[in-house]
Amino acid sequence: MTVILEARDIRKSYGAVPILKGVDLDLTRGGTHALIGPNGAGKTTLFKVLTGETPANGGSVRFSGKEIVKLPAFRRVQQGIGRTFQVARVFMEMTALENIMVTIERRMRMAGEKVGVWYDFRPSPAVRKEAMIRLSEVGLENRAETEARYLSHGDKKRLELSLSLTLEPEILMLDEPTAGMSQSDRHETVALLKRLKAERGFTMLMTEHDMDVVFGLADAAMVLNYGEIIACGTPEAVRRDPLVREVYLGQEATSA
Amino acid sequence: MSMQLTFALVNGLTVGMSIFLVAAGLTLVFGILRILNFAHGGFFMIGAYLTFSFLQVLGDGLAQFLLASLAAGVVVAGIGIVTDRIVLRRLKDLDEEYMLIGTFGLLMVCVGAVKLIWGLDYHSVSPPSEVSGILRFGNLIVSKYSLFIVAMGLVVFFALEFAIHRLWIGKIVQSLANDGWMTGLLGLNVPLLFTGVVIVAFALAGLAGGLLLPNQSLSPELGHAYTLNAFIAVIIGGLGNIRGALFASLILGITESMSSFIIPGMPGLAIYVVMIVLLFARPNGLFHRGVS
Amino acid sequence: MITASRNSVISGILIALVLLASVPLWANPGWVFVVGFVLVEALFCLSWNLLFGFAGVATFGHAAFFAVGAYLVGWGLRAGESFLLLMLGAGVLGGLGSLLVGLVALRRMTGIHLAVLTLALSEVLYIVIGNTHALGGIDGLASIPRPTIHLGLAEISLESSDAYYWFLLLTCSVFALVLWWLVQSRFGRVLRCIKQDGERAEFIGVNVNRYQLAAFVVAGAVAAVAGGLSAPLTQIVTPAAGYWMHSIQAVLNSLLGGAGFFWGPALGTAIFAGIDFVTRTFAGLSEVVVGGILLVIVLAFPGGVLGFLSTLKSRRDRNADAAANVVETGLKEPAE
Repeated sequence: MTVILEARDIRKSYGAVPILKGVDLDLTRGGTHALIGPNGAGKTTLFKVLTGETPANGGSVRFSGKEIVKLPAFRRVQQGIGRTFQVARVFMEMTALENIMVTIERRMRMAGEKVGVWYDFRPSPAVRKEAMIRLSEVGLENRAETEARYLSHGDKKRLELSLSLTLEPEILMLDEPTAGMSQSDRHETVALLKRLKAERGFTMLMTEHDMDVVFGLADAAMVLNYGEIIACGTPEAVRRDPLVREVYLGQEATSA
Repeated sequence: MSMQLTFALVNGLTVGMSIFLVAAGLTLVFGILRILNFAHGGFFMIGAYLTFSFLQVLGDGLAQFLLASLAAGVVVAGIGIVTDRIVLRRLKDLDEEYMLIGTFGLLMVCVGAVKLIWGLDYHSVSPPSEVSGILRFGNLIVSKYSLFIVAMGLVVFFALEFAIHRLWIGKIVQSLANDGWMTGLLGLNVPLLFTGVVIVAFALAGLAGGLLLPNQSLSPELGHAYTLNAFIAVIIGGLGNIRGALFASLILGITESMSSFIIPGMPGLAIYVVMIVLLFARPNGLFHRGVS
Repeated sequence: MITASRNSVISGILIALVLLASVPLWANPGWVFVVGFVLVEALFCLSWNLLFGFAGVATFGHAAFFAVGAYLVGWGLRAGESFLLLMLGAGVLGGLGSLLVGLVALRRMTGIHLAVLTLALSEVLYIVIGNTHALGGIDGLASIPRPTIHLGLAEISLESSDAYYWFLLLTCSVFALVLWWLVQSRFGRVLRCIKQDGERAEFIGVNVNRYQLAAFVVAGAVAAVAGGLSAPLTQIVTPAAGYWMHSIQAVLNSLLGGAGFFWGPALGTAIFAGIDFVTRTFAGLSEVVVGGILLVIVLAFPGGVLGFLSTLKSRRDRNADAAANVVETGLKEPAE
């Protein structure tokens, strides 16, 4: 098992308040990792530091051996790190299809492929065709011509997932992929993620509150508490860790 | 030379206080409502025209002048209530750019109304006899009206400072600025408080219009001229910050009156140069404390 | 995203072009001048809206670039320089100027700060021009001659008002169409992403800053070209070309017409010119009317005139769809 992303001694504070106190974290290639911890533990901040949304105060992040901690977000995306947001963010005034088409064009641009003739008014038929296929992968083929802002919450999340995967990232970072979903939607999302992951084989890192989702998907879990990783290992091992039981799982651990 | 410099400094203090009198209401509205009211200068101008009309009836004298200015403040506050109901409240949730454009539309309405009511002619008013003329401090000659403006600026500043930092109502207003929703949760009537702040801010605009009326030509252009300077002061002073607005206004005033020394032959340029430098050096304003 | 079909847009543009080209044939010279002036202003507003409506950057000092072009061409024509060379120079100078401003400002400032910074920078230019004797100070450059274009052997004289009008119409149309194409092109599609959600755009690998800078340069260059076109039309250039109210006018025109629509600013310019014309004899009335319209637009129709029309159209379409659905499925749609 090779390590694809290696974070060392990540530190971040807002003003005088330290949020991350030297976090180490390894993601293995092809693995599904869950980052869990109580509210305010620094999950979101760690996530932002890894994606490049906020700069770290110190530490290193190596991706496939290359130092990326100083790179702006879009450069990390170009290297192969994709992400979704807690509240799905897509281009709201474009149709679902246009969302994916513009992303395909970006990917082709980044890979140095020819995207079509320069004076073209609209995306080439090949791009359109690929976009339709990608939409049908997440079950949105019937919403292709709907403006994203009119999509339901779950459809927006699916669109964002498809959009992020369109870039063919090596690592996909999911910020609470099932936030605000009903129980049945959650099951569906877990199944969808499992399927897409099996097909593409990307590495996954997610923050998640719902333990069913974590145990259903992840093969490794890291517990963050007060800006420090207090446990990591298989979800089962983490669940049995007494320290974790104490600070985090609480009654869920006893009921499980 | 040093005499000239001192003179320019005193003059700059007066200009700065004039800017502050307008900027105070502007920054107050921003601090509470989060609206940058481009039209503030327009209401200031209406205050000046109203004072002009009142003075025609009341005649000369410091008491009459103060009374006319206060009355202008009251009338403008009344206009403010209506404006708040019809416009400001609805602008609150829009993007910054749309707020600017909406309040700019408001400014145009003010200018148009002034033209329709008072006409296009230029007017001028002398200071009331009690504060006209000059004082001599050794070689230094200072006009009494300048001192009056500086004094009025200080009165407004300390009154606002006292109200915001010492009084119970000020604490509520501050909490409102930080989190209107939370204040609402505490059982306070948020819309009423908003209206209160708007009344104070508009009254200040009208009052400033009256106080600054003498010694300048009263024309429908007045609103534009003061809007821009007050706007700049509020931005470099840190949005919503009274002390910052005072400090920035004084810097701008002194820069303006010193500009003949700093950049000869380019009147008015220095103020923008200072502003650009400050915008880059302290993008969040001079008095901004840390990151949120 | 855009409701009108491409064919109807293209035929609309063609009809407008034919109508505009025929103006000197049936209107008196005064009108030809006014229409020419509106065309220049429309191009200026289109260039501003490339930034606001498509790249999501609001600047309040765009008139500075207009003034740069106007003064360069005005000054050069008086010195007897070649007109086409001067126009090229105007575009380059405008582009370079906005590149400089963009490099310094775009990365550090957004929203209100960027708006105020660009306003201050344009005021600096305004004051410097107004106090430079070589540029005529506050009175500006007067009696600018109409040019003659030398194209190898052929010479085209633009000295008559009609000839210059046609040249102006041709140039404005070409630049407007280039901008239009740019907005539809891949570049424009990325700009639209940035405007709708800059952070999301960053996370599909877009260098947001570089794209906005490119839009900045194009907008500055086109504004300078519009300014350059204005100099021989009015035959006088004054500092007012770069005054902040001129920048604001671009903002107002664009919003009135509809900032989300490419042709919105051009329509807004025409409507504003109409309002000015109708209310010209009542001092103050035009401000009240225009200000009132702006307020109504900002508060009730943020999409401007075109936005309002397209809402009407889509509502009608949706009603038609709903009716069709009822017929097809026999089910009533839940009430909205």
